[in-house]
Amino acid sequence: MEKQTRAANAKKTTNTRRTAPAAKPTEPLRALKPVVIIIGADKGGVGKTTIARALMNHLIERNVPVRAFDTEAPRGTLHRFHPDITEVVDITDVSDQMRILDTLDDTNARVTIIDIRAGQLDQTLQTLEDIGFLEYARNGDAALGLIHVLGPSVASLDEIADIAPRANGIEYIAARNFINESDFFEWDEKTYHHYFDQVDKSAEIDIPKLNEMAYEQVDLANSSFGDFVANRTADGRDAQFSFTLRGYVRKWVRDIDTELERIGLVKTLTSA
Amino acid sequence: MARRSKAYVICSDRPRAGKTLFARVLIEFLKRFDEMPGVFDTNVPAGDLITLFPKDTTLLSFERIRGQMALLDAIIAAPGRDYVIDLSDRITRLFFQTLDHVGFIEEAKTHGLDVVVFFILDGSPASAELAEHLVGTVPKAPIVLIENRVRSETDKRTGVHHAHPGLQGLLRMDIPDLDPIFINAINRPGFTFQDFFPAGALPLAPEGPAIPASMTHEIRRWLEGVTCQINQIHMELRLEDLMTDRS
Repeated sequence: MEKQTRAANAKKTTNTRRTAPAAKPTEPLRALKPVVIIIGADKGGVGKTTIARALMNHLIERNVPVRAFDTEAPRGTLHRFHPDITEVVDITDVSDQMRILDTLDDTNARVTIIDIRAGQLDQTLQTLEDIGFLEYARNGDAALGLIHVLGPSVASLDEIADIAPRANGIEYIAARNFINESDFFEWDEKTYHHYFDQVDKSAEIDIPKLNEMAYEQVDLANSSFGDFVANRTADGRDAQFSFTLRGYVRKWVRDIDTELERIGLVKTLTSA
Repeated sequence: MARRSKAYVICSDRPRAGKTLFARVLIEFLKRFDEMPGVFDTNVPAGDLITLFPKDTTLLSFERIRGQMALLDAIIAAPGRDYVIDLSDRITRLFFQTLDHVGFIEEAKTHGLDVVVFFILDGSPASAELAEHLVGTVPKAPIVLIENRVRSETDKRTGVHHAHPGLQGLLRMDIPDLDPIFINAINRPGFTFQDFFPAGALPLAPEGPAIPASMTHEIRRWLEGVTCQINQIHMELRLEDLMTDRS
């Protein structure tokens, strides 16, 4: 019998799971369940890739093997900062979907991160639903988390109503990204509750604002946040980055680490 | 043991507390008995120190990140000398919060440089509270509380901080009183303390008439009162260094 793909099997599982536990699509290479974390938003410019980079840094610092898929084909921003462990894919392309999902059991990475390009989150979740991967995760065969990145605008917050229900049965985290000095309508209680009461309170994280110049310097250096803080270039050589800017980045990374540890996302998913 | 460099931060919670006068004495003291320190003046746009020590002073706005880099990066890049930082009262909290955020004090220590804070109290509860806040924000930097008795620069609200529980056990010094007539002389263009340190020649003001001998005596007496205490603080800090090295 030909080796079946996870995407194909997930589809099959969707149809059969309710009556009987489906056979494992392939013999697992390890006992641990694959862990997938999707990071996305339909609105652009809310900091999806920045949060993906911060999450990768969080995992790398904790010695959790990680790989990532950057869906900003053909170029890819995430790939620029973590080229060794990031592949650029077109998430709408079936062969690229297979590159992600059918390799979950074969990879040495404990966690797979998928950075969804702007405007494709809803569509991607629909695709994952259609091929049965969401159902597969809901049934506990994979650990799946969705970090939904929100900017402080009505357009961004309106996405909560669309996306949160799709995340039923998986770990859904609304990430409030303070990309500028504004807040999330906390000054208007009614508006704030209108949006955020749709979200389980345990599933919210705040991403603090990083100083613009510090952000630009990391961007310019093509370094991961960890390398920049450690004053290393992307290829591991000693760098001459500003001590002050490194300090700002270090503080920002620590604050995000604290938020991620507070909600226990990685612990929850990797212990599943 | 090699002498560790110091970055002296001179601050207060309000303007006209005497920060710049004390900074001038400290700079000239270091110049006289050690070497000219690097000077940072954060009183933009019109800092007095850049006028007095133009070659060695950097005028900057610490509220802007470029200013923070111009100060903190410069010190970390050249930690082998002393620095004097005259802090505008507007940025006291921001400055120490930034030091804490970027881990400056710890990083500087690894380069052989210690931060020492001179905080000029005015005796008000707000002043004591800010000093106590700094103790919590930068616990690894020694804080020296200064009571400034110079009449022209303080409203003499003294005594409140003596009872403040969070300020017990800190190093202290008093800047002795000095009549405004002498302050006016000190503030004249071209005035330097160099000629008033022990064994200095009788001073001649570069601009305007020479300072009368009677004034010279009074300024010398005042300067000696301040510099003796700076010496005392230096010895206390050196003792702390030695004890830290042994522990």
